Amino acid sequence: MRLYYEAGWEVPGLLQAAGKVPSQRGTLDIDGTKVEYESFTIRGSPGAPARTYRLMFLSHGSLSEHDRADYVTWQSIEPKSISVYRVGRKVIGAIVEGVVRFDADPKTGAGGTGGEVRVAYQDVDGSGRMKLALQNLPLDFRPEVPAWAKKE
Amino acid sequence: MSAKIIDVFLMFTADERNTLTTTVGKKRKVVLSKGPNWQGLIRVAKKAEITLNVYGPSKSVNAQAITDSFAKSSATIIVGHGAGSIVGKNWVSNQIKLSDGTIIAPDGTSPGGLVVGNWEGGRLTPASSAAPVKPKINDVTGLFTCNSHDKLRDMFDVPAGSELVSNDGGKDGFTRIGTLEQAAYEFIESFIRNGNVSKSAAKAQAVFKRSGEVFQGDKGDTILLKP
Repeated sequence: MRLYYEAGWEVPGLLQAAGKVPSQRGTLDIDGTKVEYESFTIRGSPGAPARTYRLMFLSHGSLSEHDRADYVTWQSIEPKSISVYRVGRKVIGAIVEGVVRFDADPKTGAGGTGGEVRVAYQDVDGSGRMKLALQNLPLDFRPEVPAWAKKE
Repeated sequence: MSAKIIDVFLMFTADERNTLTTTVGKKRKVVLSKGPNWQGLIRVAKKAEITLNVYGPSKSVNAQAITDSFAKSSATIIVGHGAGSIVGKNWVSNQIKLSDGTIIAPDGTSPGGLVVGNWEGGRLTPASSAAPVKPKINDVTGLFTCNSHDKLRDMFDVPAGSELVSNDGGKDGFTRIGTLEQAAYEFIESFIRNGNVSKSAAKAQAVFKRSGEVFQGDKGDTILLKP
């Protein structure tokens, strides 16, 4: 069975988690458009549960020479930093870096964290909702400037 | 290169260590592991006339620290998450992220190796347009990350006679960071005593086995030696 991941999912509170004081600021020229970014470090509160959200991983693999499959797995991600990209005052996308946080084993209570992820989100239609654009980003990944953000 | 220096880089934050959740009635309590007694191990090493340098827990490890370690120490142990993604059904780490760059596995577009630059806005701007170079490891290098076996081990130059220790992460590719840290600790403790990589790897494997009995994701994780 093939699964096509197209629509994306809304990630609640993603930008709100960024806080108010950026740790880094900068500007890029992306295809002739001035894009500003601000990076925020997310720190948890002592004693409080880690802030996590569910991330879907869609990957491809070969079952055999003739059969390919799309695999869908879900993991909880604890964001550690968010970089928010804007054109003027319009937020066009974000890059989230975080770690996989495992749910406690229901029998033993054992839990913890796993691999590091870098994922990119994009507001594709100007709705204000960030949707997953790309996982396992290339080092020099640059967000696209959607058409709605170029309009005055 | 000194025969008596071991460097271990704990490339994570303390709050990412393993946890234990208990529920009594409606009350839920999460206890964070404190990790192994690294200071005690430093003292043990000193008695054996070995300098054990423990860096971290911290994610602020730069390229110079790693390359200096490969040049000056006989063993470099990296304990971290490993950056990557899920490929097929399991996690595959393909990078070790540094504060000023990354060490990245080869892929279709890059030969892999060390890339030094600036992290800006979640993106890396390389300091040079030159192709990455694979760092040459020392006598013993341990990659205690989630699934460092599939790709990470190929981002290093492994001279003849050197040993590269990796972890396959089992069926799902994941290994909890606290488990990796404990495994690295027991690997180093054994290595300080006997200088034998295989015996020390067996100690690390025993940690994985114990951890796999309480956490499904750590079950079946296996320490492997290259070549």
